[in-house]
Amino acid sequence: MGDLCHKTIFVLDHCKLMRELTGVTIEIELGNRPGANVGYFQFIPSVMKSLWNCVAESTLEYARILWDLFGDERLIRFIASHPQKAISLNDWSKAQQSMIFVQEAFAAVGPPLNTPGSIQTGIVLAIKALSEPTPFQTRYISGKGDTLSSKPRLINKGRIVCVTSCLVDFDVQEFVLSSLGKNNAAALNTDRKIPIDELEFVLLSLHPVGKEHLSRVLTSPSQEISPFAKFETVVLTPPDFHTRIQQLCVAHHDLVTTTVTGIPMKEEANASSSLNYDVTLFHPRLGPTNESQLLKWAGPTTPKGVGTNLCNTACRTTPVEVISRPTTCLSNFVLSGRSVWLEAVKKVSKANCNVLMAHGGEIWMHVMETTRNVLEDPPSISEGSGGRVTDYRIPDFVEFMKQNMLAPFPQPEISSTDKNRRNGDPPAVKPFELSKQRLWRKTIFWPITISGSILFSLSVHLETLLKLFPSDTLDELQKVECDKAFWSLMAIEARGDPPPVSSLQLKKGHKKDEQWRVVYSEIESFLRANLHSPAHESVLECFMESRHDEEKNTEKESDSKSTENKGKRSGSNGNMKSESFSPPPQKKLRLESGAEPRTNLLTLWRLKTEKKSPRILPEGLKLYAHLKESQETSAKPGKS
Amino acid sequence: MPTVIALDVSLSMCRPIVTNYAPDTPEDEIPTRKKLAIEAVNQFLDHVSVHCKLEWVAMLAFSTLYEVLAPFTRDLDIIRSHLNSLADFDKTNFDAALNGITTMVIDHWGNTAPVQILLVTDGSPGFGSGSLKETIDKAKPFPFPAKLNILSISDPDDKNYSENCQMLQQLIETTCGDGVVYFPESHLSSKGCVGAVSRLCAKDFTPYKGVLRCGQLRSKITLCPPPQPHVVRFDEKRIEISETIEIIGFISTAELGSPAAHSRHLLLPLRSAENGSFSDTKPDAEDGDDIDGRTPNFCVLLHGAMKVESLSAIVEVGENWFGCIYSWADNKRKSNLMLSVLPPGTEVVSWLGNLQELGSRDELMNKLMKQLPPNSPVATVPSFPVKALEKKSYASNPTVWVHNPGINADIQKLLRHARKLPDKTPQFFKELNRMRKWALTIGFTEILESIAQVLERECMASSSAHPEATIQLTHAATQLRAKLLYTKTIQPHRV
Repeated sequence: MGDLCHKTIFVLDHCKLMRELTGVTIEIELGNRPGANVGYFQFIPSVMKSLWNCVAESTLEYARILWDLFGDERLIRFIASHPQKAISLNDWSKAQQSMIFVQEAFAAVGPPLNTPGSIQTGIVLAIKALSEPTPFQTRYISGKGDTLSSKPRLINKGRIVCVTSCLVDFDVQEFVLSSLGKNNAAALNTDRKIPIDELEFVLLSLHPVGKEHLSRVLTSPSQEISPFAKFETVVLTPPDFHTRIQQLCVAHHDLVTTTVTGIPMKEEANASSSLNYDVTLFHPRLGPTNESQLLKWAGPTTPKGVGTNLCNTACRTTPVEVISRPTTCLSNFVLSGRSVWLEAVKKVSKANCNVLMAHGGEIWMHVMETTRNVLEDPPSISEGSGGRVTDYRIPDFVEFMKQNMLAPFPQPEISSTDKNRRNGDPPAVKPFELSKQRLWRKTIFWPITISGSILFSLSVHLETLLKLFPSDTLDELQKVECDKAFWSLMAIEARGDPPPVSSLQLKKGHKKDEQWRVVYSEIESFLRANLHSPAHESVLECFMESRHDEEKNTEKESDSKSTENKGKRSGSNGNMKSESFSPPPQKKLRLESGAEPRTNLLTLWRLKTEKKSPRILPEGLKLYAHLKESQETSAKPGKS
Repeated sequence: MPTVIALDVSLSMCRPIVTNYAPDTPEDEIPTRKKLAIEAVNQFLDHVSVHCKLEWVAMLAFSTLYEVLAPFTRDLDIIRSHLNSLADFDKTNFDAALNGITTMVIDHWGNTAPVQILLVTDGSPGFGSGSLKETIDKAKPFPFPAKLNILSISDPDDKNYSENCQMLQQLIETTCGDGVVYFPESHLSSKGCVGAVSRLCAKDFTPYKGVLRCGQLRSKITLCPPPQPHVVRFDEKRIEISETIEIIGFISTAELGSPAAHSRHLLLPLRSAENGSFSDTKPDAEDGDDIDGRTPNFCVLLHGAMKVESLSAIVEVGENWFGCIYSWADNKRKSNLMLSVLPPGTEVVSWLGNLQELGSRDELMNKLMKQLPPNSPVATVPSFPVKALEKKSYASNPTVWVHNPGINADIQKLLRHARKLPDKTPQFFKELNRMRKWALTIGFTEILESIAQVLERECMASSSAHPEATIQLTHAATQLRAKLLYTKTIQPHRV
């Protein structure tokens, strides 16, 4: 942005003069025809391209290079100039910055008109087109996030390349300047146009071979014709035209070439022998000192000592000769997913390593750092903070990462958010923000070490629960598995055994039932931290009810000893040395409309203590009445 | 990032600092500029050794020539030892200094590693070849990313003081465009130099302290080398890397596909001893009690898990600024976490798409499944790499007739298929349509007639051809002359 390269416009004379033939004959070769009727001969007349044919194919080549290398960062437009009215072949939109679209538009205008031409209409339209904001510029102007005052004004620059045969005296320079002035004055009065801050104008006067002397303009290098405009004139004939357009593209977009030499390739005629070929690629400069270079094919295997993550720069590439056989072989090889490593022809110390790779159907060249790395000789992670802890839950975290893989959200999502914004709605939350929120939800209960929670010492009994419950959804069968897990623990408790964990995990001096409370309160924390769906909630409900039944059984004995729920949890926290683990917030269960709040241990405890208090429940009101209701309504598989 | 200290050892550095502010100082205690320079470098090294432990530092001395006193090392005592035995040489030659620095850096790090340069001089511009003025005139940018800070041991009372400072600033502009000239405030004194070095250290040698978080899992971290702010080109706005580096999700390292990094940093858990100045809202009381290594740290867990599965994490490092974290091992197999900071912006890696549009794959899957009728097969979730909207030229079998062999090569190809009709009917018509479309695009309709003639000739010349071949060839020739629309495709004749 604020860059001459962002916009390039070709103004093409599309009238009589361009119908002139180039003066270069093309013989149609038929080659040797095996098995042809001897003596049969039919002459196929040679053909000659018109100036227009050359103009069309070479300017499309400019577009090919640009779109291959820069995606939608650099845009290009074509304008066909007619005496009365110029025709714009495409606009700045993403859909029309496309080779397929532009080829069809060229076909639609067809060969030049048979009327005397005028380039003026084309120039005026091109200057107008430069004043139209591109999607990128529109986004900048309508800018999100930035405050307008702090944002610098949009700088609008561009290039116009005009192709015609200058056979009459007409001051193009003068005309460009006056059109530019008029346009900028007009742009001030409307929001839909932006003034042009800088223009580079290239006039190409194209003539058939041997007729270039008829040109009324002379080749002159680029010069400033006003503080904000440069003008260059080139007189040329068709044989030079293509090269000149390529040179313009290279100069305008600061391209360099890399020639890959020594590509081993089977010969077309003789498949058993292989020859070495060269392919030259265009690409943007890979750094201020990057010049055109010759690099040797080193094969698809990653050289020793090169990390695939040490990439400093990367850029798209495109072949100079897109249809040559070596080019197509190299392109197809890379597009099929192989990498091609390149090395310097002469061994230079400290040289970087280049590699060709395809990403999403585009061939990229990456520069990998092979020189001594600044980060060389780093301390190992095991020497640092937390490095000597041995019971990290690494397999569990691998599972966690797999549940939180990223995907590119589809385009419709993006366009619908844009539409919402236009209607004044608050912008939709971006997928990456949602993903961060999801990670937040999923880590509410996530001790990073096995000793961080007593649950992991009970994994023999709780394995299915710990594995299944954190996922997004639970089907009926998985729900039953989860329920079963804590019932199996409760069965052990019912036998009167202590929790089946090593004594180190439990606080000394705790009685058996207190130990069990620690276990259950952690299970509850774990369940509450993972209420991802109604199915999850019903598992929690089931757990709470089972607990409640247990509580009822042991009520009398435990009354005097039990402490508040919260106290228990802080007791269990004593075991969690992880800095990053914070006690889960006491989230309330989602309420169904009209239903009373469901119990948790705290309310159970309160209700229990209330029983002892002199307050007497009003007659007819039963304790836990709502529990029964919910028991009826919510499905409880597995509970007989 | 590596730092080069370039120390001026010209004779002018030996000038004593005669000052009106302390006129009673005995003659043998009057400091020279060289003494202050050595003090300043020592102060700088002390700062680095405490705050930037993994910093590589090298030192060279320059006058007419340059001499590498210490190549890049993390053992700063080597550099300190050289400071004690500095000889005095002739005149200042900035050219020599720049050459020395360039050679040294290129030999050691190549041309991609960003390097900080600290040039210590007395601010006198010198004369003749290698003088400041001449050097500025012909200086080229450093062939590697560089930042040049200059410590000018000069006195505001010196002749041409402000002019010299401006010239030093110009030297920065021409060689790398990034850096500051530091000089003692008010007057030249030991205290003034201490202040200047402190300002330099505070600006460019402050260690990073922040937090790495993944949901509620967090760890205090430092980045090494410290990340540099990104300077927006057109308004000089500096954007700092946030103090919270937040994971947004995970991606396989293969899919990440080596994106170009803006900068790379070791991501190290902060030792509790280094936490001192770090203000945290929830100081963990238990933290100090235990030995550091035995305190579980999220970084270690993350590293272990990423290494096992070859996964990387995409992180947000600032507003509209992202990066990736992965496990990295140097050739000694010491592995650690590395953060690659991507160039600022949201569309900086084309094959990952817009980074703000990356979200949880599982959630997207659930969402898509809900849109499908029940019991339908699993929805296809878009995956990496994000493809370019349109096929690139080299992937779409383009036509190029710029050079004459182009047309003839295409005609030959067409004839090869023609001779194998009807087996090669689809291929024959595919080629025919490709050539026809290109001829129409560039307005070269005459060639269509030529191709029609070529096909008719082929038809007549072949004696042994399949009867269907004759039908298809005649049909093709007729269609070529039929002036069909561009969008129409010539179909094989139905036999």
